[in-house]
Amino acid sequence: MDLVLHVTRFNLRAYLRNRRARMFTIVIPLILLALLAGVFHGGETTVSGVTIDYRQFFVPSVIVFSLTLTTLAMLVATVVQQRELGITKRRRATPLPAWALIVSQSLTVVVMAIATVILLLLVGAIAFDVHFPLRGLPALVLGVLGGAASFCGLGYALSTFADSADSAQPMIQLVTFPLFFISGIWIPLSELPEWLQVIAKVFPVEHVADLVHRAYVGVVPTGPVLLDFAVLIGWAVLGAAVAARRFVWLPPRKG
Amino acid sequence: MDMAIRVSGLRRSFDEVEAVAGVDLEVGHGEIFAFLGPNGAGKTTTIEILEGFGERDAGEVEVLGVDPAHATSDWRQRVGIVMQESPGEQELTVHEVMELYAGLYKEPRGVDDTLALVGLDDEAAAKIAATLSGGQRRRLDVALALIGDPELIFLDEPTTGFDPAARRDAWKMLDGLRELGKTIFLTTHYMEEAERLADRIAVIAGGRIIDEGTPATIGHRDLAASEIIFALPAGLGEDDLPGDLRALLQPARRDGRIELHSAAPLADLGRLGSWADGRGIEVGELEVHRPTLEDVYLRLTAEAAGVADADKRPIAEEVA
Repeated sequence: MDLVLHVTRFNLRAYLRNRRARMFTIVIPLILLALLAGVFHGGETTVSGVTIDYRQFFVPSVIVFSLTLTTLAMLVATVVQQRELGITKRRRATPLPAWALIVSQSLTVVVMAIATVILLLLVGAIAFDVHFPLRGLPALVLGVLGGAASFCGLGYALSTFADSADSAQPMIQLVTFPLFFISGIWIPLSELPEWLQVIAKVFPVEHVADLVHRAYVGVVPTGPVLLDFAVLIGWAVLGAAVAARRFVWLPPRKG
Repeated sequence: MDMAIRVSGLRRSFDEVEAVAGVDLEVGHGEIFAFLGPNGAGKTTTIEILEGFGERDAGEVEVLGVDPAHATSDWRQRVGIVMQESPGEQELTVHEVMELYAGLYKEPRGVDDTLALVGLDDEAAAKIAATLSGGQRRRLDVALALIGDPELIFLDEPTTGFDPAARRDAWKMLDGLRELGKTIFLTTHYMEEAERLADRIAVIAGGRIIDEGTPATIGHRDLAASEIIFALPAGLGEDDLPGDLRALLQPARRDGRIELHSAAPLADLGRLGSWADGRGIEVGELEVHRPTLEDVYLRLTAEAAGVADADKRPIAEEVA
């Protein structure tokens, strides 16, 4: 475990010095928050039976969006890039056990994700007067942890389908953009056609969104909350299983 | 004798192509062993198997007494690897990258010590890894392979892309490793490098070891004919040479000098000297050399390619 923390410490340091990582995890969510919460207010929508201002809708939405980007997108990008640059192979060439390498890589993005969520919680409260009810905290924690777990599992699975950092980018967007659209982040789920809602509920983003939105309105019945969390853990396990079958340490062979 | 590396009957195919087709080799402790061969000869496949990164179809492999297919963390403590082209960590400083890797070993060398050993000074240590020059990056690669204080080091083309001065520096560094008693398994495309560093050389082509020996003896280099090249004064030609020297004549050279191939260069030079003395002439622009390692290597690999053609067995495609 000491090894995991040791590697994670340096991973985080490298991560924070990477401009693209800072853009993804800090700058883009803040800009989105400013645009959405700043522009769309005064309108109303309904979440879990509670009627709320658009602002109250968009602050948790941006949290879900940035959680997905920071874990899923950044993990895929990092894993593929580190493999391409030979970093994965070099670390594998040391006594560092494989599980420690994978856990430290995941832990790095999860720590970043949690930091971003806290930042957005604070900015939402201070700048946009959207406050978080304490009774929503368990659902928020389950949403963040379950989301991080499922996105890390999926991230490792997806990373095995990209053979270079260049091909990883469009793949990530192809996966995340439709999911954002149908998962009740930009458009409340209740305003989508029924069949699209059914599709959305198969995938993890909707369940993270459900947990975080519920947490924000403070309506957190145990049944639906645990169901959301269970689906997320299911995706984490599925992703990990695919990754375990397909994961390789070496960069693709040339020539 | 206890060997650092012992390989026998190693085979590995990729999609019908046999990249490694029955390799046997042994490397002793403390030896610098150069593994040479054209691209696609099976070098990288072999080295990856030895490093514990590649699967094999058949054969016995033992590296420091362990089968690398079941590489343990303890075994990794004892093996250092310098990979081919490895851009590595981009955002950390050289010193930070070293600290990161030092922390992964039980008994690492000192970071500053190791950086000094590979010739990276304090100024270089403070640099972000992405900003290093090619030569500095390669030094860092070597430093990272050394940080765990390994017994055995794999160096895959350590000086590719170096300018001549940087290459000389790298050789000095490798001499330093030799003095530390490390076993080194080296691949290179520079024959001068192999000659300068290696205790023993093996040449692989078409997935097979085609020859093995010391830099002086490989390919019967010690027995091969030496070249004697010289110029005669105006008015004299090769027909004026004594008969036993004329028998050694090679086809005309572009520079107009005369070239002999001699199995007994000292005796033949003596004949040339007495002949010239007898006529009172001076033999100018005289050169004597035995075939270079590169000559031997090119002959060996060309012969191997010829044999492969004759067998209708394709040389393995590049799997670098």
